[in-house]
Amino acid sequence: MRFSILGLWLLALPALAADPVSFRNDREGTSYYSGNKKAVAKALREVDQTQIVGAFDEVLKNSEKNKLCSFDFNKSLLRKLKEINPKFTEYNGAIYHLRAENQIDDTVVKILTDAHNIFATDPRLPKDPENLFLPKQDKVLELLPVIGSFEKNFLKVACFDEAYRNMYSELMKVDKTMKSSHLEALLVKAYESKVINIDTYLNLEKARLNELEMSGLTLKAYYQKVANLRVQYPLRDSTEQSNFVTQKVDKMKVSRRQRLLENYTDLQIILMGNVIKKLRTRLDSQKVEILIYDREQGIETLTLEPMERFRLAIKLLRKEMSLLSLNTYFNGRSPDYMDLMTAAYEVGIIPASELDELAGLQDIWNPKKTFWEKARVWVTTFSSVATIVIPPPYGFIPALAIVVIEATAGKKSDPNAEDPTSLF
Amino acid sequence: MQKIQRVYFNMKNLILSFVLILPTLSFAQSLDRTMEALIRTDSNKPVNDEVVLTNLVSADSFDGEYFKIVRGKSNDAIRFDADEELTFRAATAYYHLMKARTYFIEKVKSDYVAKIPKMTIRIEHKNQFSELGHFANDNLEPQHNNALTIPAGKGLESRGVKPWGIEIWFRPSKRIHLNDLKVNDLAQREFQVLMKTFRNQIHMQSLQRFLSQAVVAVSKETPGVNPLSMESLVRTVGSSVIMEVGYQFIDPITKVFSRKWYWLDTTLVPEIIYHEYAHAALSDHLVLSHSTAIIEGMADFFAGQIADSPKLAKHIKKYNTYNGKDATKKQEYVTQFETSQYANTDFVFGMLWEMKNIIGEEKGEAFMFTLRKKLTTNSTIRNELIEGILKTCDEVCTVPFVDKLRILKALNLKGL
Repeated sequence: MRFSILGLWLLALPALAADPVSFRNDREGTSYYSGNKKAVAKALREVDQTQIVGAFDEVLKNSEKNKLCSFDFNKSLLRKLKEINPKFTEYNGAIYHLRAENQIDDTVVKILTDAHNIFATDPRLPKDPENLFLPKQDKVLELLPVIGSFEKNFLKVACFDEAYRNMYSELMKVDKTMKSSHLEALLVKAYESKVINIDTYLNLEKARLNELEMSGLTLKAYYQKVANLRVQYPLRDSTEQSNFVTQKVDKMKVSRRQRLLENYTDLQIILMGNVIKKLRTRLDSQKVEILIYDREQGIETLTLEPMERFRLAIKLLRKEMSLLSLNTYFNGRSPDYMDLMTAAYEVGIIPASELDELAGLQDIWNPKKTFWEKARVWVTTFSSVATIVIPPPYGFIPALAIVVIEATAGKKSDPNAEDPTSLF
Repeated sequence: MQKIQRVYFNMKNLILSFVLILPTLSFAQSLDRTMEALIRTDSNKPVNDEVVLTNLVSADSFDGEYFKIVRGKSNDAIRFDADEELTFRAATAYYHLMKARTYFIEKVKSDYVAKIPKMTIRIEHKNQFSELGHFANDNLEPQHNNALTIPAGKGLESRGVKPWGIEIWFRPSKRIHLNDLKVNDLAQREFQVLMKTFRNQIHMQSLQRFLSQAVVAVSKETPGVNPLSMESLVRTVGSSVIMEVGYQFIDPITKVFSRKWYWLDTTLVPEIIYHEYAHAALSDHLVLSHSTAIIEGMADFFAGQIADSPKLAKHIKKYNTYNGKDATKKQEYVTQFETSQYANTDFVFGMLWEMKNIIGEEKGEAFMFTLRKKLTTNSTIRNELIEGILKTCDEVCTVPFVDKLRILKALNLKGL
């Protein structure tokens, strides 16, 4: 018996052993950063591609998953690259090259380049004392010790980004009205009062300038999130790639996948993916019936027509999207349809080949406005005024314009909306 | 002894078979003949040109291995030395029927079409069809300006009606005044709705102008702004009166300026010949009993494929003065399309053409040919046709789920 338990334990050993850290791209197609060719070319002029990948592999080998830190990672990698070429400067180019080689994905690129850019920021010193505004004196007395304990209480136990956010959170607890300009003055005050040294001051000021407190995803959190998802939903095809998830989100400087991983927890991603899983099953279903009961006895079965099934699936999707925001795990947050699609792909519920078509379903309930539909409001308004202003016999022109615009743009985007012969 | 007898018997049979088969083989040798017929050019223009009629089995008439072209109720093939106009029609029909048959056998690989027995094609045929008697009585209203494919019949021995196979009947062309036609013109109805909106808009505009002038006149005593003055009334009401007169007399005015006569020479419109042959080719599943939007739409689709054009019976005004069919026309579904009254609209044709474009040209034909198996004469557009399309996609499409999604989205946009 003892031997068998020992055997089991030995069998489990490889699993218990720490997996090597990997940031390999296993989901994304063409990189969101593929346009940064100049930076990559410059980096490759400074060190060759095998040297970049080699240095990266070495840093990765020495990384522990529980202590992953983008700032430390950058520091180590930059040191390695500078060992190869002391004049090496194009760090972001090297990171983009690692992405092009699929050693990392776009989210890791963002985390590492953001961290690098923070430390590369010029804090524009010296500060003009006339432009520094401290919070109220009693608050200053409470806030300064928090800043003074940054290295000891925060940085010692966490990565710089996490440490800064924790400190910021503590500062906000003391003074909820504190603004960035207050913090600027506080940091100067802390340095002048010798509460912090010059290095700490510079780093904190750079973090403040880049609003580090706003960024959500650390390298460690990213790694844990993706690892959890892969354990719960092992990928059927790890070579599958999609350009859909690397497309830019409207009015944001991130890709769809970056936004997903930054804004949602692994559990939320799974819940979102399941909504799309159900949608897919419903869309592919060959039969949908509605049963009508009179007390315990079924009295009528309505079989839906194919297009009714299709529209029912879309209506149910909309309903479930709304219900998702009421879910405890979402805290009232309503994920949009593209987030759901990206989540479903992330956990491998839908393949890349189906993403674009499924995403296009949004046009059914939220169609893009055509030029004429946009012009409709203005044409109608101006024509209505013109009907009074323009004298006969030319008064027919605005009337004709109204009729034409109504006939071309006035048709409902969903022609089935009021069809009495269709259930859905 | 028995064995010798059997060998002798077999030898006798073999010789007899040769005696019977040899003349038949020489007789059945297919002949080609060059004749003038109406064809479409690459740019879809109708032209009279020399064509080669293949697989003829007669040296002097339109009698081929697969088609026999006869006139009216006759069972004798039209002779090559017959009236020039008649031979031109017969040659056109024969040539395009052969083209259609070749398409179904070589492109669609239809075993059923390969096995269809020789078809009799009747041109200039006016009799109505009778399921029992083959030809309805001559006294019944003669038929013009159309074509139909009739199912095979067992005949009625007691009345001397012999069995017949699948036949295509082309009616003679006849000038008919449009007033005598009952037409379901959806475009005309849409135009009427637009006219009504325009008229209402003009009346509203007159009222607005009158009210605004009245307000100005009351608030400011500006000289010259009197809404009740004769000039102002004439100006304001004038446009409304002109509009109303125009609106009330729009129908007679349209009639004065539009075409008045209708005729359709079905034998000389290639796409109609393809359409009718497609009915025969699809009749293994779509029985030739009555006309429905789906049956006509399927035949239109294959006619379009054979003609290599989404437009049927268009740009051939000499032989067709009425609108042809256009698969690219944007049309939304209305429930009336399910009725036999609207069987000949081009909605299903357009819908199937769009499906082909979604699935891809290469697979589209095979898709539609497989689709016929999922349909019956009683199928409806909104139920069995769409169900059939989705199930066919499961069998034929490369990525079924994605293609089905594209199909469903396209159908949704069509108002289905």
